[in-house]
Amino acid sequence: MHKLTRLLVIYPALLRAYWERAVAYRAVFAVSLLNAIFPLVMMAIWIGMAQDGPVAGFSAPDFAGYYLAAVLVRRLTGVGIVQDAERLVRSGELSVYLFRPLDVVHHFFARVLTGRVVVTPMLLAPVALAILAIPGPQFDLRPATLMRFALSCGIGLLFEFYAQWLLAGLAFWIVQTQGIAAAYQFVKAFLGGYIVPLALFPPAVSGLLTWLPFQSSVALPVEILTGRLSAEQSFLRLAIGAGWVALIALGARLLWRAGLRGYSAVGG
Amino acid sequence: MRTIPHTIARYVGLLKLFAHNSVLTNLEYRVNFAGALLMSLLDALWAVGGAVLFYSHRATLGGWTFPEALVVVGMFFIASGFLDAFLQPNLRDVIEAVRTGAMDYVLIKPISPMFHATLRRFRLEKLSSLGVGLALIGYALAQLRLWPGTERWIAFLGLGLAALILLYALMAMLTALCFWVVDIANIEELVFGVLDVARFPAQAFPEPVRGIISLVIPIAFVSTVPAEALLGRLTPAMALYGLAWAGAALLLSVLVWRAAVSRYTSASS
Repeated sequence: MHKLTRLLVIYPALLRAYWERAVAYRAVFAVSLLNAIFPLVMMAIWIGMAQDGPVAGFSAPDFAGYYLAAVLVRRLTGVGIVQDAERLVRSGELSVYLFRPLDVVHHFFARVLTGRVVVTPMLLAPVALAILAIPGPQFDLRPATLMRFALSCGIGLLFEFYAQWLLAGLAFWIVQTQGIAAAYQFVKAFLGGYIVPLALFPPAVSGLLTWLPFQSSVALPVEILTGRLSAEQSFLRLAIGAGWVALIALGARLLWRAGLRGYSAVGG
Repeated sequence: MRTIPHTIARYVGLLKLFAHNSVLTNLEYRVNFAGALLMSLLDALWAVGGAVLFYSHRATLGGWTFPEALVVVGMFFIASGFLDAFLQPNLRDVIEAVRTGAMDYVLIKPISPMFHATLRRFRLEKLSSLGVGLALIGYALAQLRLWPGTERWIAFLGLGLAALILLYALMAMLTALCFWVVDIANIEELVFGVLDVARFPAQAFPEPVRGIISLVIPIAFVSTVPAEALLGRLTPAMALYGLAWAGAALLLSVLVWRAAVSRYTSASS
């Protein structure tokens, strides 16, 4: 318990430091908004298809709601740390962090947390405007739903963070982690509901996808926010997501511990 | 005053030299080839997977059957492979050269600065997308049990070439932009993002978007129009419109480069 209280003391300062950094680099975050274009391309095609009747229960406003929520959720839960963490290991810069009393993972986590506080407001206004402009209710804004939405975003963020921390940990042994990370992004985006709503996969496949870890990154928060899940359904899916997070976090921790044991910095 | 054939021969010779140098550099990093091929295949899986999902709900999309749409996807991969292999690495180099002032060394060379700055470096491994694109088109034609006649192949090659010229002109203009604005990485991201629209037939999009990408921003010419030419569903008017777009864009890009270069002041001066 002593360790936890120590972290509680350290985190406010850590967050403040990374917050200032995030504000200084806010233009970089604005650029990251541009990768929202591909889901919007998919949205346009689905909307075109929905002109002559709903597609698997999705009407045109449903698609608009789904993809706008997906773009928003991607900003809340999406993480991009593999490149930096991998460079730290490869270049030997990691040694600097190893001298410090705080585990390096907290530096990355604080950076990730503050980053989204900077970027989300940039997107909130356009999404809210679009939602108001489209006829028909797309978002379920009741307090209970919003609570579940917040919880699902937390789980999604932790999943994304630890999955990438795990991938970055591979850098202790192999050089090509960037390629693996890029491949992972492809798979996650496609199977996690960012590119296509899970409900539009063939029934057998979409059933399976709700049991995979990727669902918590985008699909679960979006489905909750758009009111597509009952309370029971969302609790089951939240539990699945939380289970995977625990498993992946444990794996990442073990991998980093093993990696650090064999680590000798470049250039000594 | 040199004669035109002489000039052309000189530039072709230079192009060969650039290609030779790029191949030598690329061969130093052979593992990259396997990595790039894997990424292209994953990307293809993504694009085809998306198309499969669309078609699992509808038999046709904007009048395109699944194999027909695969021709569009294939053409998209050819275009994006061209972009990644030829245009993007040079764009990066020019941004860096303008920022550091190394552009001086390009400008004092006795050749067209636009030619040098936009065609200097190739990344051979990115051509894997080209292979994937051709394979997709081949597969689609086999599914359609269709072997287009000679005139369709000519139209396809002509409009495919026009698509690449159009992309080249757009990228050249984008590159020239960095003489005015130093940090154009954002704009580059935007262009790559917008190009994603070319993954699917233009007719699959609902109306305002369809009109814009067919007539105003020429994204439809990148993939949809060459595919239509191959499948024999293109009107001659649209073909001419596509060729005109490519020619106009190329001309404009040359003019923009002239203006850009005349505006350049070295980083140190």
